[in-house]
Amino acid sequence: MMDLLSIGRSGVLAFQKALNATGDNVANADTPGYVRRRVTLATNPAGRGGPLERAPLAGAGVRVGSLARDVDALKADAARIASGGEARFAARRDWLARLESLATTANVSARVGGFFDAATALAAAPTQGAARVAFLAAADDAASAFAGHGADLERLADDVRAEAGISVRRVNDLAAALVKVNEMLRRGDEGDVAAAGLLDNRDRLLADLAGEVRITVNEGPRGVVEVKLGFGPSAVTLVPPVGNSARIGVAPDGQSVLLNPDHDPVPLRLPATGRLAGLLEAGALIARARDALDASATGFAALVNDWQQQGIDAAGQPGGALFATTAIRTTVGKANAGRAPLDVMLADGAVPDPSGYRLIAEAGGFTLARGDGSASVSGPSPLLLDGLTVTIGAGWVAGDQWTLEPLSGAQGLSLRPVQPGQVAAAGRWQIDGPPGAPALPTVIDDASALALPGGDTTPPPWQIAIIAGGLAEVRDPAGNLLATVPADGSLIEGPGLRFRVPAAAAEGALFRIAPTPPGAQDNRNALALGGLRLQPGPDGTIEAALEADVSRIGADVADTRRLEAAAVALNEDAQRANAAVSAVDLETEAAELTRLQAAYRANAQVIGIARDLFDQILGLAR
Amino acid sequence: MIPTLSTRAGHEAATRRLSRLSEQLAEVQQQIATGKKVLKPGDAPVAFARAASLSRADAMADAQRRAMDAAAARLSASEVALAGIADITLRARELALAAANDTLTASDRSAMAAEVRELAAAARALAETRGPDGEALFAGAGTPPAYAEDADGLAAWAGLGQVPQVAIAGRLVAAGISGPEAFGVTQALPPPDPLAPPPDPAVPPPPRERNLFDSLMHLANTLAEPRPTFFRAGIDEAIAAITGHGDRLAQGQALLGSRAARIEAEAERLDDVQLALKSDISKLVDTDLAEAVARLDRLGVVLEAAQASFARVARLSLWDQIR
Repeated sequence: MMDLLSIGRSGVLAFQKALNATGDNVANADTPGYVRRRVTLATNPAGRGGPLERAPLAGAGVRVGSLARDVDALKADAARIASGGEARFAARRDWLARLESLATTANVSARVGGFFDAATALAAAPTQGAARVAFLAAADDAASAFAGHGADLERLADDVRAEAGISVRRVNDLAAALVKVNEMLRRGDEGDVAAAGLLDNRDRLLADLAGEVRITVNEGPRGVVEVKLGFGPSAVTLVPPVGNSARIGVAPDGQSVLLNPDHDPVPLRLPATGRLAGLLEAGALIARARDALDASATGFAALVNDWQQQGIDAAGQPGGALFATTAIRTTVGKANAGRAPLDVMLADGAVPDPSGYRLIAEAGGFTLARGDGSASVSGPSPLLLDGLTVTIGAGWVAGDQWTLEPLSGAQGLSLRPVQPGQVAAAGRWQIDGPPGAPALPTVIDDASALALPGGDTTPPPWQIAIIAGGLAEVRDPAGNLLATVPADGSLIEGPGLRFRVPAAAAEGALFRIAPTPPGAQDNRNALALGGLRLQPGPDGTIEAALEADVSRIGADVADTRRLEAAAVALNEDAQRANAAVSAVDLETEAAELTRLQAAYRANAQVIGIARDLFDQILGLAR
Repeated sequence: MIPTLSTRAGHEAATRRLSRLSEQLAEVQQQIATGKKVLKPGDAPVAFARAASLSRADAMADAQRRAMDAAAARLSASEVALAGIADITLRARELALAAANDTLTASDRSAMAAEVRELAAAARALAETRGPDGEALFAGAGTPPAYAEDADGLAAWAGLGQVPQVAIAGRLVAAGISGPEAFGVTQALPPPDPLAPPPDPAVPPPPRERNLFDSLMHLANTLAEPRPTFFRAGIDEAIAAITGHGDRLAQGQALLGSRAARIEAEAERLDDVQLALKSDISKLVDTDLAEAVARLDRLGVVLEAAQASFARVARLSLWDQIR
């Protein structure tokens, strides 16, 4: 009878605990990372059956065996890996979309195309001032397209590197938190509510960590985990079961991860999953876009500068470079106490030292030194060195420092101060002959050529008269004979040039070679730019290469989107599979609740019956 | 069998499906509103790259059209000037042929000489025709004026080189005609050798090559020539020279006409090319409105149905049955 009472009591207590667990499940139905709890019941151990304790014949009742968390380690691991895959592509897509939108809005290829179109317009009106002004405006636009896009890409690269840094810090923080959880798990009890909460916490940390990097988790006794970066034999321990976590950092180039970045850095090869991997990949793609843009900018500037130097401007002078390829960037020292404004001017055509410059303010004046220390100037503002003029405004404090570094590539590109009249639209030489001549002499500039046959170095203008015997006489305008040369189409040396006299010329024909005079309406150099525009390089024409760069970014974005969609589907499946085991389904809980409630009621009835029996026995005694 | 699903995961999956549908709807809506289905390279990398290179070709064709228009204007201005000079040459030849009859008196001839001088001046003026930017059309690559008086007071070509060119389909075509091509003689012969014996005053000088203006002045001077042998020799030379110049001018006009025709043909070709380019670009990037609107409708219906069914399913619960 007492047995029955105690059995009933044990049942009520056990089912109350089970009901509590179910209530907890319902209450946490929407808590992220909460793992469904399940109470396992076990038979109470019977007594030993000795002289003092009789073994009960009717059973000893029930007790709560354990509070279990519904986990499937494999499914949880699959869910973690899948979420890392999704995070990788989400981060990559996010940054690539920014890169894509920058490239689309900068529209460098169209602006370079606008420059070449302006050259076509200039060729149509070589003496027109407006066409020259429009040409220079288009050149300025093309240069600023390169420079602006280059600066945007650098900012983007800096941003993605900073975000990778944040991701790395998060990994380190999570690893440190896991170390603490490991400690608490080791010290606490197993299978109680606190342990379940700790394990939930541990799983949340692991899930967050797996979102950043690919990890391998080995679970030890009491739920203490060992976390490794990556997988397989080469995996590096991040969180050991006992002891402190390792630290990781991003390499200065922003492209790889280092173990122990502060001391004894070891480069890590991480599997390509997790947000950090996505950020590093995006960083590499951005770096590739920057390299491609820099290469295009350098090629474009070299092509145009070379072209302009082949021609003659409106004043009859050889053209100079159209684009400057170097600019200067000033960085204010991080520890500067003063707020003095700095004005840095790079003289036109000056080439700054590639090692950069350092400017230091001292009580007695300023010192501007090359980065490699090979030259320096000191004194009051302004300072002059290597074509740089540095003017320091008021508000400086002794000890302030500034760094000046030369920029090349896209960011270094700018239009030089070129006047409209200095655009070299005309060719270098003007050649004519008798009307109806079948062919004219041709001239090629060649600095290695020194003198006419016979040693005369008088430059054109020349008059070339064809004489008998397949020969031609070269005379100056006054009629002085300079040389007699073969008129057979062979290449003949002259001062700074080489020329051919056509073989088909009739005897007595008079050809003239003259330098282009000021104001000439010749447009051959402007036309030549149209030819250079279509001249393919290794990646096609300049514009085609720029378009290919943009479409490569587009292809990367589209590719990443597709991969992301696949990763999202995979992640959803893995999460669903994991959730089916571990998360709370309210319908199941409702059914469970009904079942447990019935069992509770039944056990209460058992107690009631035991009491009734007891009462009856007591009534007998009365 | 319905797979077991946690409540949270079930809700999340449902809302994710709904928001995916909304995203698709917004995308179609944007395509309809902007009229473009490819806005960013990532939408369709190949189509975007193709459209970009086609747009570039289109812009290039535009610039090329403008350059060809300028060249065509230059050619037609040169042609008009040449036609005027050809008329003058014809009149001068008529006068020279009339004067070659010995029936004219000295005063008739001097009146003719005056007219020929006027004609020469008019031809010189036409030969100085300027382009829109003040460039001399017949100076080749040189600066105005196209013709200047040399030491002997004769009109000599002051230009040099070749006329500016225009690139047509990869070939260069001269946008005009240079003075020597139209009027003959690039450079007057070098001055006579100072050591040569002086010319015999009784014998007419041998014929020499002259440009059109020089020939006209020579005709005028010949008409005023009193010595019969000198007149006969001079008028024969002038008639031959002016006939030759007339032929050359006709050739020059034909040359200008053929150059203009080439530009015209290329312009027509470019028009066709641009039309094709525009339609290709449109095919690549423009929204097919009928298709987009149909898709918008379909997506709308699906979204509404999904929302309604979600709301309905979410209402069903075992909890209502627990008392």
